[in-house]
This record gives sequence, structure tokens and C-alpha cells, in this order.
Amino acid sequence: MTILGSQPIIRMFNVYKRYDKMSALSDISIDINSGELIFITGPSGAGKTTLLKLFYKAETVTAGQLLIGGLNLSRVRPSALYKLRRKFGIIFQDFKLIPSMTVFENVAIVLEASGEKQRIIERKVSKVLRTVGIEDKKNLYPPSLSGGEQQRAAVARAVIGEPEIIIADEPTGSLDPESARIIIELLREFNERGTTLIIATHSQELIKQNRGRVIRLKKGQIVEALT
Amino acid sequence: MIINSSSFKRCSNDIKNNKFLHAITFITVVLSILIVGTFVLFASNAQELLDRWKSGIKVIVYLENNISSSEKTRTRLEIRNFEEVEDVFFVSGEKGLEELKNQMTRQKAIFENLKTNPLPDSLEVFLKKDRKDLESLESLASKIEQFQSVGEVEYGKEWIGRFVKIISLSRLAAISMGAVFFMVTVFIIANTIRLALYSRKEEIEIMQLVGADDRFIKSPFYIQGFLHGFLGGIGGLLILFLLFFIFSVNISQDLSAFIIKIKFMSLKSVFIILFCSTLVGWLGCYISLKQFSKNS
Repeated sequence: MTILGSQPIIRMFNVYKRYDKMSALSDISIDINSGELIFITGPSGAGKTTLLKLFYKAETVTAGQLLIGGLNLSRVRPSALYKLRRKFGIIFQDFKLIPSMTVFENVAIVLEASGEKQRIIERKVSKVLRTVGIEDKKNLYPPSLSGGEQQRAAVARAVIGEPEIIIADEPTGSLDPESARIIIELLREFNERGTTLIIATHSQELIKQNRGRVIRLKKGQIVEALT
Repeated sequence: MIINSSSFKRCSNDIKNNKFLHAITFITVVLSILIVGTFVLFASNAQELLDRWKSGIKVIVYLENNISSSEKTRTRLEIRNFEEVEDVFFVSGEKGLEELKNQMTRQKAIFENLKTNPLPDSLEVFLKKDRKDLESLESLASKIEQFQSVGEVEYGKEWIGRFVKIISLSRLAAISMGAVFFMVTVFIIANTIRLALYSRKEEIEIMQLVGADDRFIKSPFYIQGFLHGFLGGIGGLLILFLLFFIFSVNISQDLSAFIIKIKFMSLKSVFIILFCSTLVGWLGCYISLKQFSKNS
């Protein structure tokens, strides 16, 4: 199934992903436009997380072509992978915060890695932590935060580098309704400013509350695509 | 290589979290430098002693008794013309006896009973600075022995040979110990960094996912390798200096009887040792990071 858009930032042509003989994704062809809001949904094991991982090359395609901003991912060398990853802000299902670093350091690492000056880093990180509402927690370590606070820290880290694409894997899965609402509002704000937002979720309620394109997966195949 | 405050922060965090591992590595570098340094110290002092001894090296040529003074002069001039010879002095039998008397004042009685001078005329042959080695001495002595006018040639062959052998052995020991400890220390530092890398595998994966490049990720490990090598080198040299100080204070009086003044190694040697120990740290780190990149 192919969904065509006018300004695609992500293009997938007949993509397959196999692990040994087990097929995780089959014949996926999608175009995702710049600034779009996309929901990828489906039951557990449908291939949502695998699909997201292909975008930032945590997994490689077995067959087919995947282009990000016109760049064919099969041609990206491991040593140049960081350039691709800097296009993305990723919010992981399990947050993936570094436990030995404070909230501030976890967020700042994105800018430090790109060689930003310390003065600018401090200003930007304080601003983004204020935006996500955890500025008072900046000197705490992730294990001492609640699930909602860790998720906000993960959002802050995902958006601090002003990425072209934000990927969120089950961003509200482990949160209470109020924390979930705040996180989604934050992500929507970035999307409204032009950032492409791709959310993988089980939650039908989340999809109903937000206007976006829905891609439904089942057993590694697209079974429905709604605009 | 991006080395910024974050690199130092991550480096110090890792050292705090793996104190024991880093302490063991540091102590290994200190001990290695201490052992290698001891050999270098011994070799440099022995070399110094040999150099001082060499400056006084001379070949004494005893002339036959029944030769004319013109033959003595010709012999002196011919020896003077050898390329390894700096200068040749004639010492008459009388002057030789006078010098011997001055040297053996307590045994004056022996000389008083002498009716004739037993010492023949001799030549003192001094070698050029760069030719004061055993080979040159032996070759010169054998050339001089060919002269009809020469009775005997003396230059302390056995002593010089033994001493040169001791110095060569200690130099060889310093080099081989240095090579062994270089490899052992590289291996231990590489292992420490490898363990640090594996204990932070998840953290490194997260950094890669948020767009950190290899240089940024590796920088704290290079700092660690550098610190192990450099600080371990300084530690080893400081302990060596302290031990040397205690040793020299206690035995310098005994050694002064042999006109030996022991000295600590030169500043140049200190810098070379420090450079090598830093290189060891860097190399250990480089090897483990290379392996880690291959496996990840």
C-alpha cells in the first residue's frame, strides 16, 4: 500500500525487514511529508517499533529502499550515522535516560555532542526544561524521578537539538492521563511549529483526540492508512 | 577529537564509579615505571662511571732497555701517528721510579735498598675521546706490541672488559625490562578501558542514538588512558626519586671512598620515561577502543 504526499521527508519503497527467517515487516511503502503528524498503530508485535528503528537506522532494511531527506539509508556509513541521527529527536518507550547523569546532563548531551558552547547549552537546556515543566528537577538523577518526569526529560532531550523529525514510541504508555496529556500537548506544539511528528501508539483515544494520519500495521504489513 | 567539559565530567564519573579498577591500573603503571626507572638509573650511573674512567684511560708502553734515544723518539712519533692516538708522553725510568715512590710513601724502605732502577723508560699513550673503547684499545695495543723497541704493553684489559660487560648487561636489562613492562602495562590499561567501556555499553548506545559521534563518545576514555600513563609515570618517578634520595644519603659516604658519586637520572631521561608512560596509556586506550568499535 502506498500513501503519497507532496513534500516527503521520509520515503519507503517496498521495504522488508526479516530476522533470520521471521518476517517483521513486509512490502512497506510510505511517504511522510515534512511537518506531518503520523500515528503508527496496531497490536503488539505488529512491527511498529521495528518500523521506527528503520528510520534512524537502529535496524537496517533487508530489502527495498528507505530515504530520509533524500538520503538513501543503505548508503550511510556507520561512521556518518550520527549526522542522520541528528535529524531525529527520539523518545523511547523505556525513556533511555542515562542513570549516572543528572536530568540537565542527559538533555545537554545532545548539544555537547554537536560541539555547542557551554554558555548556549546552559541557556537552551534551562529553557527546554522549563517548557516541559521539570526545571526544578534538573540536578536530580533519572532513577529518583517519577515515570511522568522521566518522560518529560526524554521529550526535552528529543527536542533540544531542534530536529526535523520527532519519533515517539508509546510516549504515553506508562503515564497517568494528566502526564500523558501534557506530553502530547508538548509534542503537538513542536509539530505545529513544523517538526514532523511520528508517534507509535496502542492508544485509540490518543489518535481520536489528535488530527493526524494513521497507519495501521498488522503482522508487519500496512492494513489501513487514514488521512 | 572533541574534548570539552563534558568529556572531563564523564571521565571523572567513570573513575568515581570504578575506583578500584582505576587504582589497580594506576598502581601497575607506577610499579612498572619504578622497575624500569631503577634499571635506567643503574645503567646511567654505570655509564657515568665508565665515562669518567675512560677519560683517564691510557696505554703504558714499556720500552726495551737496550735501545738508543733516537729509537725511543722514533717509536714515540710512530705511535703518535696512529689515528686513534691523541698524544704520547715519554716517561723516563727515573721519573717513573720517582712517581712510584710518591704513590707508595708507606713502603719507602723497599726503594731505599734498590741499587739499580728496575723500571724501564716508558711511553704514556692517550687515546682520542671517541676511541676510548675496548676494541680500539686492544687493536692499538697489538699494533704497538709489533715494535722491536717495545718490551711490554699494559692497559688493564681485564678490568675494562668486565666493566664494559656489566654496563652492556644492565643496559640490555633496562631495555628488555622496559619492553616487557611496556607490553604488560599496555595490556592492563587496555583491559581497564575495555571493562569501563562494557560497564557503560548502554550509555554509549544511548549517546549514539541521540547523535553523538565516535570522537565525542571516545574522548573520556582517551583522557583516562592519558591520566593513567602520565600520572602513573609521575608517581613512579617520584617514588624512585624518594628511594634514590634515602639510598644516596645512607651510602654516599661509603661510595665516596671509591670516588663514585651517584646521581639521579638526567632530566632528558625523566622526560623520555614520562613520554613513554603516557604513550603506554594512550596505546592501551587506543587498542581497546579499536576492538570495541569493531564489536559494536
